[in-house]
Amino acid sequence: MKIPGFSAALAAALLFTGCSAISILMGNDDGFGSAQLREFCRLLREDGHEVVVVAPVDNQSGQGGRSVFTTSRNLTTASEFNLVPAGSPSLGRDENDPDIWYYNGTPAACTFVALDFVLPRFYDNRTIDLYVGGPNYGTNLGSFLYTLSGKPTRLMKHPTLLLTVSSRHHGWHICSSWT
Amino acid sequence: MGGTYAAVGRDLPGIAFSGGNSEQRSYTWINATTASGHPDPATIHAQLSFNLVKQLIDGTPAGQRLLPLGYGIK
Repeated sequence: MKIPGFSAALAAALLFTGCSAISILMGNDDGFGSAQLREFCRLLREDGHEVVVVAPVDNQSGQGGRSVFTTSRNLTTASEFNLVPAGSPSLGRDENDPDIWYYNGTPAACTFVALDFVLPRFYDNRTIDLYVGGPNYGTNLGSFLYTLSGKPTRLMKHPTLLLTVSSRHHGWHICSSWT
Repeated sequence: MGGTYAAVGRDLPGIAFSGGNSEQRSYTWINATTASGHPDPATIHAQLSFNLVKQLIDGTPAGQRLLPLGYGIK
């Protein structure tokens, strides 16, 4: 994946010797059981970095920047792929990997739970060098995805045009609204 | 991407990765090999994401932020 304009800056920065191992916080939209997330975590760890994952217990695609926390102590239903049974705590660890956490909230909520609870309480308030999100399913192109919630969002009171774009599979979904 | 926005808002360098031609799939269904001979698409997505992060880490001097304050990459 190439970011236009970024390669030149990287080329210049490569003149310096970088620090080799960093502390990473990882999350995603698709859920803590996502194949992409787990592979990404594995590759980063194999390169020597510390990775703590705090990700939604279920698929939270399309939540945008909404920060929604659970009000229930336990999961009322089994999680996606039946990875976590119903009745389990709303915040917990993967049974096979103590550094992979799930939380029953939106991606943004997971970040806050990580920074304000999991890291201080269980990782001695570890300093995080980098947050990575995903890789998430869907290309997520466009400028207004922060507010994406499946329907147009009213941003301003005066007349305005809002365009949100998302892609799923091979189709495109475009919504627009005028106020 | 909300998680990345939240992280950047809390002063962390953040990168959000998304990819088409993938699918919503459990990690328990990762294939070591595929009929095409290429790795599992989930592994490919992860490898591409890792490559970018690796370049960023290796290109950043020790003790320096990986991205300027308030900046994230999509």
